[in-house]
Order: sequence, then C-alpha cells, then structure tokens
Amino acid sequence: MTAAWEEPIGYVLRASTTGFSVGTRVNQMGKPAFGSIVKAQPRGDEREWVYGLLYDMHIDDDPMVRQLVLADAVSEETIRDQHHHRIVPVEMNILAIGFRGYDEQIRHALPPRPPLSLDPVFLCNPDEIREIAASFDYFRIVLTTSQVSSEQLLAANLIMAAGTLPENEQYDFLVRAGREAARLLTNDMARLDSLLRLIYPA
Amino acid sequence: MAKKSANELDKYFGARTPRLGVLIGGSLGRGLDVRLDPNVDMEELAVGRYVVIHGHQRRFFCIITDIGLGSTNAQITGTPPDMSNPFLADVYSGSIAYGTMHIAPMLAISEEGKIEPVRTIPPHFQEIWTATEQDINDVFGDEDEVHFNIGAPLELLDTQINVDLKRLTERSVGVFGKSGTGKSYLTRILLAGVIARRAAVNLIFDMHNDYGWEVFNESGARDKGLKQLFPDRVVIFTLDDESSRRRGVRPDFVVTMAYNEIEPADLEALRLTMDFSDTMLDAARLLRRMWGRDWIQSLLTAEPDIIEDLINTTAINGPALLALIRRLQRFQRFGFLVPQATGDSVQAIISHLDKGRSVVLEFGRYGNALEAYILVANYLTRRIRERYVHRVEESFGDESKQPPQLMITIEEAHKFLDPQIARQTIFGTIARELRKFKVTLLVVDQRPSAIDEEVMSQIGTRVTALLDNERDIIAVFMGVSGAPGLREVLARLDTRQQAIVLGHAVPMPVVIQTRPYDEDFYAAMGKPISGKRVGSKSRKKDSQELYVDKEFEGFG
Repeated sequence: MTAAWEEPIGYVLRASTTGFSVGTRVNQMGKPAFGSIVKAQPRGDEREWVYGLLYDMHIDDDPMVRQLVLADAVSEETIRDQHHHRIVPVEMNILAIGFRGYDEQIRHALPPRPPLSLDPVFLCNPDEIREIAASFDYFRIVLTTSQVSSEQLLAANLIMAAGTLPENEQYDFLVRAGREAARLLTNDMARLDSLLRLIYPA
Repeated sequence: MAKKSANELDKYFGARTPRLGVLIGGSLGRGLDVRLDPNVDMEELAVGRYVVIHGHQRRFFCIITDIGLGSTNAQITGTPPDMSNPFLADVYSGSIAYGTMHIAPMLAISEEGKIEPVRTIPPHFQEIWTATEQDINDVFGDEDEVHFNIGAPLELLDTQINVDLKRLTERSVGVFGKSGTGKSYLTRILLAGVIARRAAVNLIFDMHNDYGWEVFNESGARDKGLKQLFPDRVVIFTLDDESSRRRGVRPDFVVTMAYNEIEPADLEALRLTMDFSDTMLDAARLLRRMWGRDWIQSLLTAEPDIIEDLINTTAINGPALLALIRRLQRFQRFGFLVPQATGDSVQAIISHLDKGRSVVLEFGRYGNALEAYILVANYLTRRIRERYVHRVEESFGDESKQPPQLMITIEEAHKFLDPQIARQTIFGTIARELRKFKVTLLVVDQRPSAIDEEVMSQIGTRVTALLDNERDIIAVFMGVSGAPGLREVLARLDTRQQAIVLGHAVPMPVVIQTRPYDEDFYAAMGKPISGKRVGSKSRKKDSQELYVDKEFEGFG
C-alpha cells in the first residue's frame, strides 16, 4: 500500500506567484485536508519545488449535476458514477508559503516563479513537514493572507505539523508556535486569542 | 575589528548556561535593560546577582539592579488572558507578557583576559547569561597574602570574594547597616583578616565588648573574639576591669585617665552628645588657661564663693559656667576617670602597636554611656595620632622609624563625625587626611546619613548591610557610579549575613553572603593561606589595573 504522500493528489490547474489551484478527482479527496502542506513538483526542469498550504477545496457543478439535482429520484449507483466521471475536477486552492531552492534549502518566501499547469502536486511527507515547521517564518505569509480565515488555516496546519512529532514534543512545539504567532499578532489580541484557542481548546 | 559571533566568543569565554535574555536598551549611565527569555523563571532571579553579557569583543560583568514585568500590548493588562488554560498561559508568558531586568555594568573583560573599567556598553540584542564561578574567579582571584576571603557572591557560594587588605587599610573603611544586621560580625571578619595577614595593626574601641575575648551570637552560643583567634597578636585593654573579669576576660591593661589629662579640645567631640554650647567651651578654655591642667578637678571641687568670684571677675558667662559644671559632674560616675592615672595608657597602646599587636579596648559597663565612649576614644586617638604624625615626619629622614599602618575602629561613628563636629574632632581629621600619617578609620555605624559628607567621600571601602532609610542609602552611594540601581539592591538585602561591598578594596561592587564565623573560620585563621577556588585560572594580572590610585579620588 502506498503512503499518502507518494501519489499525486492532483495536478496544477492555475498558478500565480502567491498560490496555485489543483484539480483532482473526487476519490482523491480523502487524503488532503484543510491546512495540509503540499508541494508542486516541477516536471524534469530546473524550476523550484513550491510549497503551500491547502486553504480551500472547491466543488463546482456541471451540466450533469444540474440535471441530477432536479431529478425526482437518483440511485446511489448514479451518484457514485457521477462522482467518478465528473467532467469538472474538484479544485483545491493552495497558498504558497515557500520553495526549495537550488541549494536544497527551504525558504519561507513566495517562490521566484509559480508552478506550471499539470505539474503534479503531492502531500508533504512527515520529514518535509517537520523541516518546514522547524521555522515559523511562514506564519507571516499565512497571517496576512486575505483569501481565507488565516487563524483557522494556521491552526489547522499547526495541529497537523504537531502530529508529525513525538508525543512528548508536541506541546512544546505548539507553545513555541503560539509565541511566534503572539509576536506577529501583538497588536491584534482578538485574532491571537482565537488562533490559540483553535490550537489548544481548554 | 570584525564582530565575532557568540559561538566564536565562547572559545574565549567558555560556553555558559543558562541564557537569561537579550539586551534591548539602556545606557552606560542609567544601566541596561534586558528582556528575559520565556523559559526563565523570574522567581529564580534576584537583585544583586551577577550576569554576564557577551559583547563582540569583551564580556561585560553586570549586577542585577531591578526586575520587572513588561508587555508588548497594553491591552493585555486591561483584559488579561484566560490563564486557566495552561496553553494560553504558556504562550502569553514570555511573548506578549514577558519579564525584564535592569542591570548595571560593573566591569569588562576582553577576550585577551584584560579586566578594565566599563567605558562602553555592548550593542543591542547581545545575550545575557548567568555569571559562572569562573567569571567570579577571573575578577576576584585567589586568597593570598594580600587578598582575604570575606564571603561568596549570591547563588555562587562555591566561589569566594576576596578583598585586597592592603587597599582596605590604606584608606578609611565604613561598615554600615541598620541595627541587627550583623555589623559587628562583618567588622570582626574584616578585622580578623587584617590581623591574620598583618595588613595593619588595629586599635578597636569596643563599645559592647564584641571583639576582644568572646561574644554571644544570636543563637546564644559563644563566638570567639579576636584575642582567642590571635593570642599573640591581640591585647585586651579595659576601662572596666570588674566587668572584664566577670566575663572571664583577663585584660592585659586597665586604662585609667586622670582628670588633668582632659583638655577642652576633648570636650569639643562631646558637643552634641553632652550638649556643650560655644559659651561653655569658651569657659572651659579660659579655665584651662587660668587654672592649668587641674582645671576640671578644681572646678568640680570649687566652693560657691569661688564660682561667684569667677563669674564676677572674668568674662565667663554665669549660666554657662554652671551648666558646664553640671555636665562635668557626670564624669564623676566614670570609674576610669581618676585624680592620678595608674599608667600611661597612650604609651602602653603605642608600645603594643609597635610590636605588631592590635589593641581591643573594652568599655565594659561604660559602653552604654555614649559620652564615656566618645571621651575616651577621642582622648586616646588624639594623642596616638599626634605621636604618629611626629613619627611619620621623623621617618621622612629615616624609614626605619616608620610606624606600622594603624586602623582605628569606632562604633556609633556618626556621633564622632556629625557635620557639626567632624571638622573639630580628631576623627574628622583622620578621615580627611587619608593615608598621609598611616592612620585610617574603620567606622561602624547605622546612620551613615548623619556622617559629614566630606568624611563619607573619603571612606575608601564601604561594606554595607541592609539599610532601609532612604537618606542612609543615598549617603552610602554618594559618588558611586550606577548608584540608583545599587540602591535597589541594598534595600533588598537579607537582614542577616548579606552585604554589598564597594570601593577601594574590590574591583567592582559585589553583594556577598558573608563568610560564616564558625569553627572553620577559626581554623582558617590559624592556617597558612590555602584559597579555595573553582577553575584553574589564577588571578588575572590585569585586574590590578582596576586598583590604580588614579581611579580613586574619593567618592563624591
């Protein structure tokens, strides 16, 4: 059985420097989740690996779905068939938070160039997650994004990142992350409080 | 010079742990501000402790002078976070809400090991570390012929603070502290060091019999006095033979004073204590001229018609004369004042001092009579100093005639050195003369603010236990750089066995836990010097640079 991060979760649909959209099938939706760290892998050229946080999953309608929605009774088999043979992909939106440069170091900054269409997109493995979360420099990118509730996104990401650590290190990791968030949100106590409560409900 | 990273500096300074925080502001004059790291337990810190800053080119030795709480957002003080959630508590503490401390730089050690006064400060965001035993040893060095262990810095009790006894004794010393803080105990340790290392001979005016044979400590046990520690180097003189013998002391000399040896100048020192007015002292001087050396006895035995005649035929003011008689009558209850002295006390003291013996003068029951204490101390000191001056002047032509360095210990010093009388008394003169005539003072007092400012400014080394009166604290730190911070330290010393030492005999101000005065101490006094230290480095030669005379021109 292959690990979740060994198979692509989708392919790049659209991209810009600040993020990209990934198209995927319904049956591939079980692996990625809100807050997951993903990477867009360049196809054989010299481009950088671009890392990002999954902040939105979008399911558009299509003509078939429109008709089925109006039908009186739709069988389970039809629904499953529709899921498998959708003509419109499920879209996942990714916020770019870093890239791996030519020196193999991960930089928490917007990438020099976006990934290209149809570049495969993978979930990061635990080692990569720990490598990225070893530094909290990407928090600023996340907390300044306007595309989604940044506290929700960061909290989801941190809980996932903590899960890659041994149990006895998880709390300290979350405290250190919380302190960095506190440093960045020092003038917005309401957001900070909301973020911290999402990470560690009383 | 290229800046060095902390790691590079560790090659010179040695890695240290734990880190306390980073430097975030301040100035050389006001002291430096430190933001504490989140994991530092503030309750483990205390004013008076040493910290070290790793600068780019040197270590800065600093003392904690204040500890505080800060926040990056004032809103948090108005709406505190929910601290019942442990995660929120851990995150907020050390991030938005954090600890601060204020530190005063005291000296610097370059990477070559050169110790120098602080003339600059490290840049922003340098790391602050707890001082290690090695740091302390680099500054205070080993015990040796000149350096004497008086205690250990707070929290570094395995190391020791050694004072330079030569420098301690060549200028006057002050031991200050409110009542019950162990001034006599501190003084005894200093005196023991001076005697053990033969740094000076001492004349100790022992008001409460604390120094000679033995003393009862707080727990009721007997502590050995200097005579028991140094039987061959200490002699006990007493004003009250009966009291001494009752306490099991066999004095070497019983001091008596003849009335005809008291000069009007000796009464000057009693101006405040016995309320002598100018008119009374004028009358005394006139009587001395008229009646010669027996003027006191003549006055005390004079018939009323003689008194009346004096008032009518001389310029002496009548009421002043009667008041003078009443005051002099108080002398009659002092058994040591006799018509004819049984020996030359001054010569006896000088004779012992010349042989390198220190003299403890016990006052016995007269210790409770301040006027007796002041009269005797002033009387003896005036005459001893006169002989010292004479001998020092003689020694300019013949060095072999130099008398030994003498340190005179007086208690309740503000009674001798009050601004109103300090200029007239012999003690004021000695304090101001510095080491010119090889006589210095060790003043023990609980009210330093009542001591003349000029005299205070000439006290080279100040050993100060807890003081809580603001004026006394200000007086002790007058003329000391970084004083505002040190005031906080002084006001928060423990009530016993802690003191701050600053001035001529130490390279920098230091808060000490004083050395226990116990069996180990007694044993150490009888042994060759064997300084205990941690680490392998010897005293840095360059630390002597901190002691150069040009650095000291008196406090204030």
